[in-house]
Amino acid sequence: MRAYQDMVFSTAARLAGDDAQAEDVAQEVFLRAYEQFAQLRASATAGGWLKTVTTNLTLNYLTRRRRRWRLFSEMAEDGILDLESPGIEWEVQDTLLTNFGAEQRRRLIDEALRHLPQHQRLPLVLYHFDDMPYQDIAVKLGVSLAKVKTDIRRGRAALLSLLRISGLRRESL
Amino acid sequence: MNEQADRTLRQLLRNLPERPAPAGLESRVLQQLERRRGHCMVAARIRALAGGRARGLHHDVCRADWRVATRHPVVHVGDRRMAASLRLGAVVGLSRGGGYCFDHRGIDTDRAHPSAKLALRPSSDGRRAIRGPIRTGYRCVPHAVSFATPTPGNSMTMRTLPGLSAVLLLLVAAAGHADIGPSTSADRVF
Repeated sequence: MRAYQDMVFSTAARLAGDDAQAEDVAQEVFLRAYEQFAQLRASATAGGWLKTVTTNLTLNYLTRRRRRWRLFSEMAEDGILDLESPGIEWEVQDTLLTNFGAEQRRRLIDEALRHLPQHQRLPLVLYHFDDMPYQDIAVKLGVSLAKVKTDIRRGRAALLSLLRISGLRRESL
Repeated sequence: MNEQADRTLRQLLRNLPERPAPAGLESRVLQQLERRRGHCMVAARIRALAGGRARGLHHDVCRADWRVATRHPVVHVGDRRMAASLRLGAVVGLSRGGGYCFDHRGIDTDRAHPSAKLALRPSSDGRRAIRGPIRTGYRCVPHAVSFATPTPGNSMTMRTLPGLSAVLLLLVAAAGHADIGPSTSADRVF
């Protein structure tokens, strides 16, 4: 468990955008792993199994929450910063976050990911962190291939904007 | 979008280190495994005691969706209004203090149902129930036994509660899985 707990937690946290839920998911993943301990123990693919279960459980959780709390989500997404607005086009240097150490950079990116709307965060995380192909993401999320590509692209654009803002804020401290 | 910046971002994402898991995750998993075992044992004994009518344990705090409760026709109900609505017989519950439910197999039913994060929260005067999401602070609360008193109008509860509940409380306490307390676990959660 020690060898995999960071991976499991990271996967869940980046998908869910919520540490408390990620912790719940991580717990559940390891409880399932204990149930299958005999098979997993000797398996060379234990890491892959854990990652898949983590991804699926997190997506299940998010789907359930979305159905249940659609109203609240919609209200929350009416945030101050409309990340999807085509009018926002920040000028971002190619030296993005180079002034920061690795850990600080990780924190900034994780924080920015948390602020992405779910429909952008999910495909972006699945694509960039889980190395999932576009087509698989589309199937998994039940959306079109075109939407997956658009959401990932817009997600990265929004992420850049958020990183620029948070990076500047940190630098000015 | 600035193409160069996008390339840099892709690079950053590709090489982003994993987030460290919160401290104590492992011990919480082990704790929960222990609890499942404990819940299984206590559930089995209660089930036997109730002559098969009580098929499992049910948690009240996160169980605002009563349809689920009726699929598990027992009985963890810490809230007497819910007990009356459910027309349950044995109004005694074994609770972990929020966020988790176990059915008679010891399976955490919360994880299988969207009502997992709902709370039925008694207000301070005990009359109103407020539904809302539980956010944080609900894990790792010690076990508690919730004990609802007989509810007028629910004859089944009236009839079965006194003798049965006393035995159940003893059982649960003897099994060492609970502290006996007068209030519902919702009080602890909030």
